[in-house]
Amino acid sequence: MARVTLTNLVKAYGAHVAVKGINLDIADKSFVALVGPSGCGKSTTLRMIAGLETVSWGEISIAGKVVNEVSSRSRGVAMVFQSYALYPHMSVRSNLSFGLRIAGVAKTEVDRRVAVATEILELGPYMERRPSQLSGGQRQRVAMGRAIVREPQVFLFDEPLSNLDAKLRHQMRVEIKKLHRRLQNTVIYVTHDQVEAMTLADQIVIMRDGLIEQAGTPAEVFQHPANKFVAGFIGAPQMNFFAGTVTEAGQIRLRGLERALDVVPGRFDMPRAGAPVTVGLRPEHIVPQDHGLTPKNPIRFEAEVLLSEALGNETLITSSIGAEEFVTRMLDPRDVADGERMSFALDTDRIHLFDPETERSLRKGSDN
Amino acid sequence: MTVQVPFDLSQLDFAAIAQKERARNRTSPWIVVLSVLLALLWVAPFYYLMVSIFKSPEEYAGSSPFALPEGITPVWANIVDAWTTANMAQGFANSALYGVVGASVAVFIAALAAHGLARFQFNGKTFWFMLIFAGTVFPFQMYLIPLFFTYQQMGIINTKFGMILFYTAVCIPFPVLVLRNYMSQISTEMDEAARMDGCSEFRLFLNIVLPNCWSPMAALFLLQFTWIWNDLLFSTVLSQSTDVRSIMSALQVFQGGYASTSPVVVLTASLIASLPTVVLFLALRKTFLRGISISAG
Repeated sequence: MARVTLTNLVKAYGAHVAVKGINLDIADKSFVALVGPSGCGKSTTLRMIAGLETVSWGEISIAGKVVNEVSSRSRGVAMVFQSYALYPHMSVRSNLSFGLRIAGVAKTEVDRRVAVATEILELGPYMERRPSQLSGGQRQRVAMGRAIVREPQVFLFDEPLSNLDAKLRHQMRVEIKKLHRRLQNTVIYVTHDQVEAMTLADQIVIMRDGLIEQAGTPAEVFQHPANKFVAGFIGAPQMNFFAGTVTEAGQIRLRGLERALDVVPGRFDMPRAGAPVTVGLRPEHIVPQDHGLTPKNPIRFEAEVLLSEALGNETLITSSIGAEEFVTRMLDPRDVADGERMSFALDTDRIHLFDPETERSLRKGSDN
Repeated sequence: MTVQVPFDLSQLDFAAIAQKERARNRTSPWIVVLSVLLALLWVAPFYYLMVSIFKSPEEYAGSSPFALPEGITPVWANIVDAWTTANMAQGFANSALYGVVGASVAVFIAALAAHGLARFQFNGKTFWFMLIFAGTVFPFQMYLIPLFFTYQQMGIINTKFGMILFYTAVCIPFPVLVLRNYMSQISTEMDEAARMDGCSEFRLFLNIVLPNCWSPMAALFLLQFTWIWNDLLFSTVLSQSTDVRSIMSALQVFQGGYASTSPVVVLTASLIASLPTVVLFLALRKTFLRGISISAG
């Protein structure tokens, strides 16, 4: 059992507090992604779990044992670094076996573990090469192999794919997923790329400014973001936000739209009439007419196309309601001219509401 | 946009293009003449050296210094004469000892210091670095007199230990500067990976950092070895006896009022004395050049 528990974890560098007392319980065999913009404390948290940074306050326990004062090598963790951090002067074989050899593991056991990692990662043909003779993807695999041979309870990944090109990144994402399925270890994966987090993880932890903003399954954080930050961070292109006002009838009026938006009854803790709210709508929920699924409860409006970005399979259209710009997806796209007036259908069933001051979601039951 | 018909390369005259490219890069004849003159000026002393060592003292005295030798056999007599008069065997052994031990220990200690300065965070890091670096700023002659008296008081003047101690110490600062810069460029994630692999700090230095610094270290070893080998000043001041003095001060027997050795023997001795550094450079030239370009880059 390699459950990882962080209790009131703090990391302070003098007056600068990078991690501000986070609590997280990571179940055995789960794949957890820590995401957030740079400087949010996700890497620092990972490095504390790895034992590469000291813990200023709080506790880290791995498999039920507090490891604050335990050295990296004895924590039962292995880490894959962003730069791969392979030893340039050693062959792939030596890179894989180095840690085991200095730990005094018997040669037959070293050979067995290296053989297993080699087989899993298909490194056979490269065993005698130096890292400089390998491609980016191969280096990445060696770095994973070095982690595998340690047979760790917990795998730590620190932005492992950020040095790869888009195609290879996708390929490696699949490999990491397969690896997790096969080895069944606990994985903690740091990334700033929300796509990686969404596709790989069972649980996503979104961090900002040294604090956890929300933790949940990919579907949870996508469908029920706890606050405006998470709503904007998860999903690409990001969620559109509009300033609205609550009407007497409990609807929401957006400046620039004739009709007020109906709200699904009972879904939100609605503020009193006249109060401002922030309305969030994902790009796919403002549908260009005839280019996507027409919503059940639409509000139709016309607006001028400010910018169109053709991606081939879809076109991203930037337009505006009143003074507020939004982005939408045009599926099955046609040629769009800038300045063209276009009809859109806004899906009122899919709106998110946030308190403009606290930025918290107004959805009932979203307290995390 | 219309699709262009591919350009027909066969209509080009590649010989003419190549000639035009060459003409563009052609050097002016004046530059060539000047270069040759400078090269001759540079080569002249070597020519003088090379023709003289093959002459007997009598032949040297009776002919122009630039005349070609009549035969090559006198060189053996010159070598024997030089070797025995200056007791070169002892000088060679001493200089080799000082050079090899001094330069290698100095570079190793410098690597340890550089590792600390490049990889660890501690208070006064810049101060310690500047203090070590100060060792390369002052002219060596400044140390001469205090060093002489200190050595005398400590009783290590005219001892092999004293010589090695001095050469080691004086050869540390410059390699620290070079290696610190070099080590700063090595990814610190590699250190962290090694720590997670279970390396102690010393093992990390020995097994991970050092093997990645061989090139600059070899270059530095060569530079410091050459400096120690060629040093005359400190060897003369800190050693007197034949069994301690270095090869360069051994050559001093050929100089002075009572010296009566022929110039051909002196030249032969100088050539023999400078051979080891040349051989060492040739042997390590690839590593040396790689090391130099790394430290410069």
